[in-house]
Amino acid sequence: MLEIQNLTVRFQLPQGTITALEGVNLTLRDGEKLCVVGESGSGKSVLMLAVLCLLPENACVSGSILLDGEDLLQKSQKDLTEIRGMKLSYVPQGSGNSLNPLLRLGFQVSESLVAHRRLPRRGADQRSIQLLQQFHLGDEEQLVRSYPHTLSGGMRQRALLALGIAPEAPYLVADEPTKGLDSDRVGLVVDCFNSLEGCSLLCVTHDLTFAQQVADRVAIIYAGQMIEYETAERFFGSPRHPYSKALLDAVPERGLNAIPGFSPGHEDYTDACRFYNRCPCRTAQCQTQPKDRWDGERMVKCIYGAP
Amino acid sequence: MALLEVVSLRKTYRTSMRRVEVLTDASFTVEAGETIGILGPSGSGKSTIGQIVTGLIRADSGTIRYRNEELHYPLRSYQRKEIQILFQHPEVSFNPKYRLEQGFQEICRHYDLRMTRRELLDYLADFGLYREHLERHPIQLSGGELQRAMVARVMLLDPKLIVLDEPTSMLDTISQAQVLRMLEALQRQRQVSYLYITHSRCLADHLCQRIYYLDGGQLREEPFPAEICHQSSQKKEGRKFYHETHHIIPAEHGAAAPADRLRRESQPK
Ligand code: SF4
Repeated sequence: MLEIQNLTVRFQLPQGTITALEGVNLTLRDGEKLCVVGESGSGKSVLMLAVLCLLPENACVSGSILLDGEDLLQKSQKDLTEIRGMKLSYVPQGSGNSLNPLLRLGFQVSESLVAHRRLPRRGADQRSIQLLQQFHLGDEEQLVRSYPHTLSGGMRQRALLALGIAPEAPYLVADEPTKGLDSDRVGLVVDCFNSLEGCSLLCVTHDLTFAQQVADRVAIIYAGQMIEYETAERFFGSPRHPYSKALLDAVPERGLNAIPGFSPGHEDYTDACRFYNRCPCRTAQCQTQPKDRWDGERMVKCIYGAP
Repeated sequence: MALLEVVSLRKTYRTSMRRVEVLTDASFTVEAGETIGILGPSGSGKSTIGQIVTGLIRADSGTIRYRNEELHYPLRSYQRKEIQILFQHPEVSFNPKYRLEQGFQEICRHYDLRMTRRELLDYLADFGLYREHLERHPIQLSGGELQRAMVARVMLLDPKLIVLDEPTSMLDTISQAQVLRMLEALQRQRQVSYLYITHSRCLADHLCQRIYYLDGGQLREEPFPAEICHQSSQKKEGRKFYHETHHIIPAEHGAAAPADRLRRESQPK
């Protein structure tokens, strides 16, 4: 079980301190799939990096992140290196430089099998081909011998997924695994995640259609705060926070309706609800920040969200 | 007379290792003020069509007539100005060392458009860009902001045809809806035509009047509308907006969500 308690992340910048994430509480149960949804700059990636303990040096983190009861924030670098890979595996974004340009693709996948699953090199090579085949990259036998620069962005993304699931770690953290993929390929990712037996998934995404297909639970982040935490079934049926509703209305299949306005920058945070300027339901009461309203395992941060 | 008429376009990419025939016989037309969609999986050559039409690459054979005049590679300068393209990655279209304002000044200088700072600010406000954005470098802007800046920049040239090459596939859901709705509004104001390249049938249904499917290097016009994936896109004011236009598709496990429950739950207590 992964429990995030009162997690706050601040960054020390020359211009001053900014709060990227504020008081987030959530739980990822064993075998559960959680999608963290938010727009770029909302703080969703910060949440993910905090769980991986990969935040940059100027980050100041408070709260706790308990992985099977042990606080990751208190661990030494050495322990963390052990945990990453064995217990916690990571699928980075394909558009980044996450693959080593100097190593053949097959070596990179099999290396993770050798290191974390202690497979012999031969077996690992065989297994890498199978893993890549799952993602329909085409001519995998040839592909394992090629270098990352010969792959398209979408292929790199899928290769990274194969790499991420290779160690069969009990926790998988994925960063926008469907970004830039077309719908058929998104289907492959959906199948892959849905076939991960017993693995807990924390997936950061902005693709709600994808989230609906994989998530058991969703957490919505807006301007550094978690504003709704809900089972996927209820969220996609009847979201409670006005921002969540706006998000779903903007999904192409649901009308492609855009609410006006943009999320506030860090310098524009006020005492009011962060969604105040764009919220169609706002009243005078929203001039003070709404509290997190918990109801069992569901949460909504809005004065009207009471169950 | 169609604004753009493309007949039997052919293009083969050759590397030392292999030949890939992406277009074998692609033909289509675009009327003035119309949006046509080109659908197809990744790697099918959709983007190649857009790049040929904008004159970024050369076709092996085939003819393109624009405003009844044949387009030859390289395009003539008025054609380059009137036929524009929006890419999937807006960040590559900006000079990373320029503040946004310098980027706009450069265009104005190049095309001899005289604009004071005030006029530029007024113009950009329609695109949701304000003074603070002008001070920033591309890296300090979000994907949505950059793409809106890109639209603003392209519109400065008063184009007649814009190739939209997956312009929102890197954006979050709300930014995507904002950018696409903005493009629709601009089309109504300016009668500009769009050649919309996408892999999403649903997005194409929203935006296009006609849709072509690229298959085996040829374009086939799709029956349209196949099924409308959206119900109503009218906007209503305020709180009513959500309740009346909230199209609920039940979650896959069948948790139907009656609209009245939604209404009850969002009422002030
Ligand atoms: S607290 Fe008020 S302003 Fe904030 S989301 Fe709820 S209704 Fe809207």
